[in-house]
Amino acid sequence: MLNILYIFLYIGAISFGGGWTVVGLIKDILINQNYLTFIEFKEILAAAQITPGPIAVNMATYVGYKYYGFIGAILTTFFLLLPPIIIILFFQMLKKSIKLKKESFVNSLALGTAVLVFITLYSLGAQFLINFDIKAIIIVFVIFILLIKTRIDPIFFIVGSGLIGVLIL
Amino acid sequence: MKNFVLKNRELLSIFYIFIKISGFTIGGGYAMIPAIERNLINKKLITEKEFFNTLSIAQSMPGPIAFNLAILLGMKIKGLWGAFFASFGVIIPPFFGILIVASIIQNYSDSLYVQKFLDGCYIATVGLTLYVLYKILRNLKFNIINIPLLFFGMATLIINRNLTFFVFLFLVLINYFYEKGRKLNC
Repeated sequence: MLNILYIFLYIGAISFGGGWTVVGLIKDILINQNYLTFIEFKEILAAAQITPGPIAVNMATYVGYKYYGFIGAILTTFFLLLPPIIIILFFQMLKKSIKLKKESFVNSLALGTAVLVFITLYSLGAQFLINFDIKAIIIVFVIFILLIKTRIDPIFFIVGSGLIGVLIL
Repeated sequence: MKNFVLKNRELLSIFYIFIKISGFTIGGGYAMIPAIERNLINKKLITEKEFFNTLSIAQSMPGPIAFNLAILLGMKIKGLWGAFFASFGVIIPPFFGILIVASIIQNYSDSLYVQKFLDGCYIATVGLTLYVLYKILRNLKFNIINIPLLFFGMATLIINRNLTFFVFLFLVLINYFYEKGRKLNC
């Protein structure tokens, strides 16, 4: 039990960049330590994609539940999320004593973020360009333009795009 | 009860927004970013500039991006209680969702329609991510060194994904000290 909590604490503490970086990390660690088989991993990934919310949270909940039931699920999820909670509270307390040039700092973080988002976009979407998947590329750009031009809630785009997928893919 | 609702209108509205977004956004963290942005800005709980500044901070911390964003935004709008309600809103749907879905996933994943629906959702996620990138670039103040840094970072990460955190740290520090130094000079 302690070992599995430690694993999720560790994943929570080093998973910079979010999303698919975390998935790779979870896969390596949990499969190497025999907590999951590769087939199980793929099933959870599929489940995580049709379940709402962050994928890392889905994974932590599932593994905790599999080994230690409902309490286990709560504990693994909590330990995964503990590092960001601690960091935020820590910075909130230190905020007054650290003197950073706020504008420069925020702009620098934005620069780093742009690169992280770009690389996420690349790993999610490069396959469409490589396979020259015209339908997918058109849907991506239609959604992009609608997001800029209108104030529609993006949830509709996700569900809508799923329905279009059923009809034409 | 009515008194409580009136007093804590903003808290409940934060909780409701985050539970709704987390509950309906299929495809993980990045798909949630534009949904959070739209809902909070439409409700006038936060401005666009504040949102993207917070996003940058959320990115620079470990942990799921949607969760970090929820705590930080909750904190910004309504202090510690705001952070508490926002993060609970984000966690509840995936927590119970996975427990239910994981047990019946095999029956689902074989269905062709479910597969196609998921493929469609996936495409939408790419569109949403493109939008997030566009917004960040538009909010970025460009200078003579951060454009080359941007291309350098993108190229390095396409070649080797394992360097993600180091590249991020490198870009942030170089740009920060450059901007700081320049301001001191003038």
